[in-house]
Amino acid sequence: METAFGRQLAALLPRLSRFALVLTRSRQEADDLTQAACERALGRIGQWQPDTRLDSWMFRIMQTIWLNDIRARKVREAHADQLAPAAEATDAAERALQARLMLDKVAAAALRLPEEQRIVLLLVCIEGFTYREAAEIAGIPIGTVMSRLARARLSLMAMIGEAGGGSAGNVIQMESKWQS
Amino acid sequence: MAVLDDGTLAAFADGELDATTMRLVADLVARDPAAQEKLRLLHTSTGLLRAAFADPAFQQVPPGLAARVERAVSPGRIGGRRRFVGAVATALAAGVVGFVGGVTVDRGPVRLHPGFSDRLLNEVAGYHVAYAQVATPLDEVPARKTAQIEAWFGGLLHRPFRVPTLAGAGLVFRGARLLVVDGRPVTQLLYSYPGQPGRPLGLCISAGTPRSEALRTVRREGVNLALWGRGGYTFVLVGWVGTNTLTTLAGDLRPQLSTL
Repeated sequence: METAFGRQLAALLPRLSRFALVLTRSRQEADDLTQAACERALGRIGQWQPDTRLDSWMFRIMQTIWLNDIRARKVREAHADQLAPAAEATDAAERALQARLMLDKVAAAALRLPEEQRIVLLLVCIEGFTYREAAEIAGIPIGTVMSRLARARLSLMAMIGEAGGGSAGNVIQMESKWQS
Repeated sequence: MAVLDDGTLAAFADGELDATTMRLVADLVARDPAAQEKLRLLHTSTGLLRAAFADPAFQQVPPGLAARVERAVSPGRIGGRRRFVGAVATALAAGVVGFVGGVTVDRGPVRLHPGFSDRLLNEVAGYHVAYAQVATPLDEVPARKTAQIEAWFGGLLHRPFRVPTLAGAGLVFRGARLLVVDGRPVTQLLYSYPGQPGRPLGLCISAGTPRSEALRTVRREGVNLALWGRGGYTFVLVGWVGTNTLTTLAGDLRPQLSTL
């Protein structure tokens, strides 16, 4: 079983690396987080049920490690705050290479979103998890996934220059239900 | 109780609501231009995000990690896991000092998996049939935004791009959308015959083909497709037209696509 686990985990590494990059916004830290998540998984290999999704389990492990790393995280946020203006300063160059860099712009905008929005954006829009699965991985209510996801996507489109409209005209009272 | 707010619209866009609620929201959206615009943005954002983060640069695995993972769980490699721990600890220690905040990505050569052309045909056919069942595709960028489409697709295809015309064959350019196959963006231009908006013809272009491919026609999912490869690009025409027509249209398109 362990050999099969190792193969599956190795195959999952590109996606884990991407999730780590979205969380950390730093290549170096993403590499470290990916390695730490692998180590955590290997240390708890007995807890994984072969008939369950390894990707969900690994994303949850990575998310937990990241959130628990509070002290180092504060340092990161301080750095990130300082770096935000620098990211804006690159806009002129981005415009000069608009066509070539369109997707870079999308990625850069996504990485500038708040962390809680980046997480649901990656899990649902990029990784294709359902809202329920994303809620379990992120450890938040499904309604929170829904609202963060909408806010993140509309903010992203505004950041890349797509006009964001006002509130929808219809406001209705209804019981929102998710597919089970 | 909840309102038809942005979150509900997002859940609607993602097909996360139950059938009854989907119908209710669909009725309301149909009467609300602001909600329609937000839905378009929500759909477009998903396509853009998938394409942006499909770049292999975002999926670079730390050097040697895959091998270390496999070694760590291989039978008879006692101590492997301990060595793994050492490697992680060293990397973590280095990371505290090495944080620079900005994300730099290195783009290596495009690597396509074997059999890409066949999967491209399957995916394009599947998408085409599914999209045709939607009365007003929400993730389609309309033809009136041709300049934006050309800039967008030019970026994806790494070359100056002009939307080719098929007016000579009686087809009108309708809009564009983005597909993703094997994690790679596939641009799609849509044309239709006057009076037949529900039976569009699609022209798909994907960058990264390592070799040329002669034109061939196939039938998948009830639609006909023509595929050819040239100059590092794969082209696919798809629609409810005969294979002879597809071949003729491909001939019309080739000179116009020569800038790629």
